[in-house]
Amino acid sequence: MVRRILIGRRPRQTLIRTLILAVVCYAVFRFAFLPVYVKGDSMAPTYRDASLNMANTLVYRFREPTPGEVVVIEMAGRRTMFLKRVLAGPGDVVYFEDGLLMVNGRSVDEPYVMKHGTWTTEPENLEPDEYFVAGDNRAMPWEWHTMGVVHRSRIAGRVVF
Amino acid sequence: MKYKTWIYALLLLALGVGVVIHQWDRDKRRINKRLSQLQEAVAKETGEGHLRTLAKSQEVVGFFTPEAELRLRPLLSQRLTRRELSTIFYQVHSSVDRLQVRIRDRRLDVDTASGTASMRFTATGTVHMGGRAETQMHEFHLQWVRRDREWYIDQAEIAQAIRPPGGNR
Repeated sequence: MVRRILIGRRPRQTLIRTLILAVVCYAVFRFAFLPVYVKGDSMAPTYRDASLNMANTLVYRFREPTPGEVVVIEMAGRRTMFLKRVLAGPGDVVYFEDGLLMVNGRSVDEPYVMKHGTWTTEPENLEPDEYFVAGDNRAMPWEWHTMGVVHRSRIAGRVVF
Repeated sequence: MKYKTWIYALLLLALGVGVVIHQWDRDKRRINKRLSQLQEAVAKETGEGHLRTLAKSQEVVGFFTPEAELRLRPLLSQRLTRRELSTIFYQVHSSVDRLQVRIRDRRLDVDTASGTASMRFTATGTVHMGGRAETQMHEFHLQWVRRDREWYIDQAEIAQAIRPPGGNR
């Protein structure tokens, strides 16, 4: 009975199906989606500590990241990465003024931020292929928070859920 | 006879290739082992005594060449010599309760002929101090050199994946 449940009536077909499923799973998780386990509170409240999410690593092969998207940022490899929100893109001038995000001289509404805090930073002129990223948790002092300018080549994918 | 000569030549060639691969792998294995030892020396468990900390600060220095260059911004702002590193290491270790270090995504390129190697990895450090824990992640670039059949770090640098803004106004 157990054998029948595990390998079915036609073992050869079961084996072929299992192999196809394994290849598809490998391809999907190797080339298209990346499981992301969040550690830390820098993206709170959008992504909380110890939550498991998924990033699409194919999307930026076809288009550029846009402000508002949450992305994963590579370090030496893909086993440890930063999870941040893109706030501005190439050509923009971006800074924080008493907690408000300013892009090209205008304040940007950020509905995903619960508490805006008091961050005030120097303006950054973003070069081509440069993006400005930060976490959603602005309650913490900006010196403790990893944020700033990232090169396009380090953006590995977009968090989809 | 001729056939036998060919067989011997092929066997010798295979042996030579095997030796070269083993030699190349040996360097890689040795460097990886050195890094793991360094990781172990940098970590601190709760209740570590001052003498142990002092011994560890000497042990850590032993992984670097005497003229090693350390650029560890933003962790440490200035360029450090081995001696300065030893002092700072002792101070940091004495002030924290516990320090956990995790190394992932190791990438290593060894140039056996010149006795140099280039390494990249991501290190995650969790500092426990006064009941609080803080985690930091950094990408490290290390340059290794082989001296007297042992590998030492000649250059250590933190590569910033995200460059922080100019500063507070």
